[in-house]
Amino acid sequence: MKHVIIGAGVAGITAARTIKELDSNAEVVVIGDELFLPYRRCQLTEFLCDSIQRDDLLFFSIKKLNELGIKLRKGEYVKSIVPSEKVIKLHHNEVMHYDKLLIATGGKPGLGLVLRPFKKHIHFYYSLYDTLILKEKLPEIHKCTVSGDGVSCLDLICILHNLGKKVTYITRGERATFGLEEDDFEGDLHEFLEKKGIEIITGEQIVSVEESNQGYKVETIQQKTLTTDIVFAWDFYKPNISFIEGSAIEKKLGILVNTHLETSEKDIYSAGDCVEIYHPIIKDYWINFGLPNALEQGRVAGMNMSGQDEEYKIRDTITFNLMGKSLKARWWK
Amino acid sequence: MRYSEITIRFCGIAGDGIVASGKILAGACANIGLHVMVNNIYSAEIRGMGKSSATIRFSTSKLYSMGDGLDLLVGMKGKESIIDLRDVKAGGNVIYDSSVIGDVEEEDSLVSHITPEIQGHGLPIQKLANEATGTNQGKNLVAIGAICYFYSLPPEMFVDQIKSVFVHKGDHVIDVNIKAFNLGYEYFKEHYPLNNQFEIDKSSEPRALTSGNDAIAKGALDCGLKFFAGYPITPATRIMEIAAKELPKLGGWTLQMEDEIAAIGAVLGAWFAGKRAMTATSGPGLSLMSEMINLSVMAEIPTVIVNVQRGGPSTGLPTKVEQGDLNIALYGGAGDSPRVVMAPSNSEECYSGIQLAFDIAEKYQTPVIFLSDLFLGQRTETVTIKENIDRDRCTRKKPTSEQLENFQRYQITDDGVSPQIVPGEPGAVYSTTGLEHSVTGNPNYEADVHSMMTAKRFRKFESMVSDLPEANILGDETAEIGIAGWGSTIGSILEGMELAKKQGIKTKLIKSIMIHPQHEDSFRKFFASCKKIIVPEMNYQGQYADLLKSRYGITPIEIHIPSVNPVSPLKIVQKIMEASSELSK
Amino acid sequence: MKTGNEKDGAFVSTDKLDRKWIDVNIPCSAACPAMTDIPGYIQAIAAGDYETAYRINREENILPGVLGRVCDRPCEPVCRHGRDGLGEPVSICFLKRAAADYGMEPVNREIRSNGKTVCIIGAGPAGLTAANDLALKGYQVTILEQFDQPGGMLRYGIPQFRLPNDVVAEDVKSITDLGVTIKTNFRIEGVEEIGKLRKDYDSVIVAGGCANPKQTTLPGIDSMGVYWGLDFMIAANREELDKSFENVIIIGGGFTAVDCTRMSYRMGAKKITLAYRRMKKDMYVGKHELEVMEAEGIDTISLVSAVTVLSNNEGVVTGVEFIHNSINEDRSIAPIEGSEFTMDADTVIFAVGQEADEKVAETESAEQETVFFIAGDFRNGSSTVIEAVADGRKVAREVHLKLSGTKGPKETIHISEVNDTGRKRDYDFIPAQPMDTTHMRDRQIKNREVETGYSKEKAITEAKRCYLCHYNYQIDISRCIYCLACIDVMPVDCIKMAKDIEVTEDGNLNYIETKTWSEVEAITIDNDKCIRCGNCVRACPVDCISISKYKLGTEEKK
Repeated sequence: MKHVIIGAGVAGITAARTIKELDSNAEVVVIGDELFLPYRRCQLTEFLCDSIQRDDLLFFSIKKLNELGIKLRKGEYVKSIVPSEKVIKLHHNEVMHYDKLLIATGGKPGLGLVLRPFKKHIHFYYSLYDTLILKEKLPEIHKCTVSGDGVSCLDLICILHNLGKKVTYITRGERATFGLEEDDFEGDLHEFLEKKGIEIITGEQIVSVEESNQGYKVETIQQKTLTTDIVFAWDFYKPNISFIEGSAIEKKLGILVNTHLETSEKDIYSAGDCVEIYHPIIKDYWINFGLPNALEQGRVAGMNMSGQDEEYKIRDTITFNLMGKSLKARWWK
Repeated sequence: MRYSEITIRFCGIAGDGIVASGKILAGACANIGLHVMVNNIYSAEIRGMGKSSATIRFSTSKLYSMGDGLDLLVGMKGKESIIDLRDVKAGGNVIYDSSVIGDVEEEDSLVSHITPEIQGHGLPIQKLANEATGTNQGKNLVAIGAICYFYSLPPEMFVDQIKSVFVHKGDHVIDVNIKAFNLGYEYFKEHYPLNNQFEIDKSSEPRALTSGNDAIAKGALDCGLKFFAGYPITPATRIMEIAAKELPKLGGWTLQMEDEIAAIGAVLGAWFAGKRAMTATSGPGLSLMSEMINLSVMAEIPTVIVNVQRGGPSTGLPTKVEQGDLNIALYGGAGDSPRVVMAPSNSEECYSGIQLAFDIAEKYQTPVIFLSDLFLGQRTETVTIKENIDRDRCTRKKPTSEQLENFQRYQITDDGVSPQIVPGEPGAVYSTTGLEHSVTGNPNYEADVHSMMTAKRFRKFESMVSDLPEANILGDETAEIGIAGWGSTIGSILEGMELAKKQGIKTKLIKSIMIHPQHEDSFRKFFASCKKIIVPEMNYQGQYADLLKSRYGITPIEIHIPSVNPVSPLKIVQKIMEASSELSK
Repeated sequence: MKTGNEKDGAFVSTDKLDRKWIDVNIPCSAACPAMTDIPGYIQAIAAGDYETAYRINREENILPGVLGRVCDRPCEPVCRHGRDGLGEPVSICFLKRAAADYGMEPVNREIRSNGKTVCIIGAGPAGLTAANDLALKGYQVTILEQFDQPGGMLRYGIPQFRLPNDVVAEDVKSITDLGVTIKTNFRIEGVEEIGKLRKDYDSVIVAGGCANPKQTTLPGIDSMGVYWGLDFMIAANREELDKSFENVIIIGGGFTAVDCTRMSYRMGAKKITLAYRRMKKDMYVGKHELEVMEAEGIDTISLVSAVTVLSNNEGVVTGVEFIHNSINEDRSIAPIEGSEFTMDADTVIFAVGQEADEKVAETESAEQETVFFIAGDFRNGSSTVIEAVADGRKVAREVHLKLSGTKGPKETIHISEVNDTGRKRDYDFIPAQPMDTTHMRDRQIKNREVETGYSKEKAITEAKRCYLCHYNYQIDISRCIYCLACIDVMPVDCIKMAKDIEVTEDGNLNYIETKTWSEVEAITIDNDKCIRCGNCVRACPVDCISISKYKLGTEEKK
């Protein structure tokens, strides 16, 4: 039985381990697009501010991979899937057969039409790569401009502020909500941030980013200009599943799965941040994210791929600590 | 990561520009003052079939061997490069072509064999080459562009090299090649921005690059070579090619003969006529020359034979290295047939050594067999050679005016060397023969004459020692572990000794370009001071070890290194460690 | 080879294999409902000849200015340049616009009247096309248009920020210049009126379009502030909307729905949501449209169906109650019980499709009568502008056939050999040229056209990208020496070693490939993969690769 897992994050690796523990003879191949060994994304901020070392980020060592007999391929992308032939095609035209396939590619930030032309001047804050690049630049940057939504955006703003940088946050809405629901945060988030010294510009949108002799020049839709040392921006945070286009795998924003984490195509499963599932409690489709979810979904997917019958029980909210106040978060759109 | 030394291998099929990649990279590195060594492995088949690879090692400090393992493997053709993955060090890198045309099966894909300790980087080599040049040409430059970014090397060093390598092909060719280089560079910059650092000393002077074969040819030409006769044989043909091109400019001649026997015959003829002459061959050729070498011994006609060793016996492995010709060089003649045997260990020694060979051959009227090997002969390395040009040099012992009256060609002397004149020189005539002869050169089979003549011929070898360079002793004088080796293995030994030193183990090495005769006292003294002696060499029998055992009565630890691949310093270190641990018991 | 089948140096063929070659090898033309000679006009633009480019479009798809802006472009997804690893498709539509922007010239034709008259109901794209074709054949054409300006959906359905009124007017003028009369504010109410027209004219074509929005029945649908999509667009385009829009919900998934969202943005709405009952990939609009919407701050939610329109005591809309849908294996959708949720809104727009006017629909049965036809969306249901144009042409042909007694047109293929295509290999690496657009800060100006068109230089640069698939590269097997030099230099897997070639019934050539040298019978170029780069021609040592140009033509059957 050959199991192919696309995505070497926590969900994918957990599924790999689960499969191997149930059947040590199964062939398991994990394909990851990053050139790093599997790491814990949720600890990147700690690594950024040096509270932990690079090695502490490691989620799975080579030794462990070899012990379990999991084959890991780093730095490779999947171009397309052909479910009818049970074949995936990698970016260098290698054709790989599978008996069972798991898609656990997570999500990633992206730029829309307006900002895409300025991609090379804009930084993301998502992967270990982004963090390493940011770490190198930290000593030289003082003013930061951030635009985006989601808990990771909030996380970035807070860490930059804690590292002593001057942060300006730009949002389209009238208040800084980061796409979170009102009662997810203790108190008023917008006020809280402003009190801490973070500049918030509302009702605005970045329309261009150009290099200038002192860093970057940012222009907004209301024709304001800011100078800054670094620009972080993303228009959306979407599951990383463009390669399923052309196949019949159903998706909304994320890949649609049932409670066995099966997709609409036979023998193809999905787990982790890239999955969208109907949540009967909140009565909406949602994408769950975070480390505990990835571990759980990885485990469940692995069990189902190995022929076991395991249902995914949907989790409740996760609570974060944000500069001393607690923050609940469940999903991102 | 910071590097001061990197080893890169380009792998592909013949026609991919693999050897050219090595040349450009080596040339660029040498131009900015780095030390470089390049080893090419050619396929035996023609274009489009068969694999070839070029391994380039460059460093801020002097290199003696190809080191161990690769930091970067560039797989131009995926399938053929799979086997080279095992040479990539843990933490090393692979660059593969991510723009191959057509689908690739998993088991044929280089990428699927990359293990997690190694980082694989996709580069659309074919696609970018197409973009730059319109066809598949320029793939090697796309890869070099990527390498340049990857190790933060200054792009100018490659752009300058491209300009000089393609200067004869016109501006358009230069432009598209620079474009290919830039495309590779920009691709890596965009997709793999986190790169490595390689320290460069900006003030370094450019270094000269040469190969062992080239150095031998140049050395011979510089010290008065006038005639070359040979027969093409891998890996010595290059020497003949250079001779054919250069000798006419210097008023000399090159003749390609019908076989090696004719070649050595012609060389003897030239020397008999008083001109410095040489031939270059490999194992099978040297075997054929045995009888003519005997003539050279008996008739005391100088001769210089360069033997670039390759895998044997018989046709053997024409494109692979081996150090298997020591025995035939030393003992390959019927009868009591002594000859000088020399073995340089690097290109500098090839240059200076061949000049010494000519001096000795001419002065002592003896054959000199100059043992190079395929690795030394064909590898490219940066060298510091001080040119020594003296094209009218002659070390022949000329007769005094007294000796000219009643001239005795084979006069018995204290040092064994008889005065020699050449045909046409006024004053005397003589005849020579392969038969045993009297002092006048007339055939003579008396027992006492034969004993006297043989003794004389052997006496020359004792006298010449004073003209020969002393053996070098390198490493730690106080070390108890001693190493003796020869030829290109010396380089790997030196690096092995450095590695052992880092582990706190002291070693010393005795090396000499002279295999026979040697400064025997130095060797005896050296061996006496050792508790363990290691003799590594690239042949099955331990030919050099046998010589040392019989000559010096030692019982060395022998390493019979398998041939084909350059010797790995780690192999030497392993034995050193074993020896060391035995000593400490 | 000279035969009697030559015209201007070109060999004229009627072989179905050659016709098939065009369908398979010029995918853009084949995908165009009007079979436009796309490589032909792009090649003209690359040479700076905008007039010829305009002329080709004017003759083949009638409305270059309009289509160059709003065409659905079925040609671009099949463009060879967009295939895996080759980059982006050629921006064919943007180039058509450039042809119209820079090459528009009046049609200069001597037309002899044939004394027959035709009446067309509806001055939309189908009607205008039929009018154009018939006028060129000498018919006296009159169009009766219900609104006060011609154009139909072009003028009233599509907003000006996508298609300005004066562009529509220019394309219409090019048709009326042929002698076509358009009577505006002329509405046909029923079957009897059509009957009367049939007596006054030799032929009547009903091209009334689909201007009636499909109506759904939902509780609360009659609340104030609820609009049908097309009504909303027409009212907005006619400047008849004067209320304020803060929070708008649009329900639907087609072009009209998207236009409503973007129109709302320009009418000052702060929160705009598009709700579609199926999934984004099922929407009629493409990824690019969705991205443009996102850039204007419009949210899209999918797999949601509207259940009730909520309103306050005064009957003014306050929001919509939705229910989530799930998608079944057969791709049908079903609501998920208990998953209702509410969204606030002060305006709700239902843009769920259009249909033909019922009253006039009875006319369908009358089609059996001679010389009475229906065309365009009126016949086929709502579709795209280019499909309406193609249908208008088709119906005009049928009318002409009936009225003139001719046998109709037949297709011919003109094949001419060339030495080179005029393209250089580097052109293949030119990246797709993005369209210049109005700056984001000016997007809210209601009638300001968002796409501002290519400059002449940019158009030529983009035109150079076209591989010019109307060129056919063939290896002459009898002269090939099997040196494989062409295979060495091919940029994609386009040259095959074949052990056999089979011709299928429909004219397809199947190359049976082999990797075994001893089995090779021929080296052949797979024209489907060929990107016409010319590498093989340059590499061939015996010059056995020929290049010929294929052009589709029509002749009247004799």
